[in-house]
Amino acid sequence: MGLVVLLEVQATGLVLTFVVVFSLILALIVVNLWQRRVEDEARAHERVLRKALQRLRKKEAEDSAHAKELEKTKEALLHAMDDLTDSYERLKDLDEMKSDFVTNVSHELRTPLTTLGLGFDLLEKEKNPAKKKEILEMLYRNIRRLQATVDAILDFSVIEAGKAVVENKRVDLRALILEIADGERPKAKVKGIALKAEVPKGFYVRGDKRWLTRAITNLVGNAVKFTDKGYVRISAKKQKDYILVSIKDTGRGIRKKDLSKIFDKFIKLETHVPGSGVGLWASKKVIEEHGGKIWIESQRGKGTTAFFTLPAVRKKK
Amino acid sequence: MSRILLVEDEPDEAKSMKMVLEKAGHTVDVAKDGKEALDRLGRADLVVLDIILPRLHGDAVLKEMKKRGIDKPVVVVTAVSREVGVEADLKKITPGLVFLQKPFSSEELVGAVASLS
Repeated sequence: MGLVVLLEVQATGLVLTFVVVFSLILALIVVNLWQRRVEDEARAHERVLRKALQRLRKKEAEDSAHAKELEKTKEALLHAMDDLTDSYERLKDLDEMKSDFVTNVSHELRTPLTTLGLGFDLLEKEKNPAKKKEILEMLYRNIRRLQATVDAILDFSVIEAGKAVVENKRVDLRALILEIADGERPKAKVKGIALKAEVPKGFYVRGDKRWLTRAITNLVGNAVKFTDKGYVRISAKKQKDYILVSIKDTGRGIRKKDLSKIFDKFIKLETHVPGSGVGLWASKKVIEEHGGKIWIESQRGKGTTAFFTLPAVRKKK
Repeated sequence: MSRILLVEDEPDEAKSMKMVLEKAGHTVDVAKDGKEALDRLGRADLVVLDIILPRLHGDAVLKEMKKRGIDKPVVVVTAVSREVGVEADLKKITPGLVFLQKPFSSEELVGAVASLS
């Protein structure tokens, strides 16, 4: 009995031990399994998170690229808008200048035409020979003025197209200037001012005589036009490989703020003075096409000097 | 016949208009700019007025006449194109003026003056 009890006790102890050990093992297995599941879950979560992070980073990168692209596009657009605004302003200016030109030209055409119309009526009725002569002279003056305006309009389109200088021949600059001075002297005489031309012999240039005459006549004509007392003096000297010509007057001068725009197209500083507003622009174009330079110095109330240079050529090669 | 003040800065235009008006029997005094015109207004029955003038433009002359209460007939002669709308602007200052665009004939000038005399 004691042995049975002992055996039972031992058996119970064994069973208990077994149960405990088994429970422990089971618990360990469960814990282990659970741990693994948790780990798996964690890993799964991590994967999801990592993927999400990757997507986020990719999106961020994309967004930043997109933002950069947007910024670039914005800049380009702003630039284009600036360009457009500039072009628009330039076009507007040009349009205003062109309409000024049309206004000037139409004024310049109407003015001599008025005198011509009235003058011919008067001539028809006039019997006194002295008066007739006076009217005839007036008619000639206005025909020449009309001619000058028509020439300016025609010159303008030719120069604008860059087709002004056609000939490339040797030109006697002295003879050309003296000829121009002779042509402008009657106008100076009417105004009571002297017109002097001092050009040494042997000054030759190359180019288009007809256009050089136009360009220089504009300069001399302007000097006479804006001088009411004193004189206009044309002189020339050699300066290295160039001939420097100056046309000095004792006229009313040009305001400093006007000097910078004096060579602009369609500019007329004094609206009531005859002129198409393209003369100086045309002179500049022609002189530059001959390889020269042109500039103006002036002092309000004291006078103006127009300078231009042209490459000198020797008389004979 | 009228005593006319002709305000015109272009010498040949002034000369030819003066001759035409004198042939029509008027006496003509010439002023070369707007200021001169205002100084000599008193003696005239009628004014023939250019618009683009040195010192003082024609529209300023009209305004000054209105301000001073000088009510004299005016013929405006101008090379400014009618399309610019200058005629309407000037008539706002002086409603009764006659507008002549250059170039005009002797008959038109004499006729305009006669219509106001």
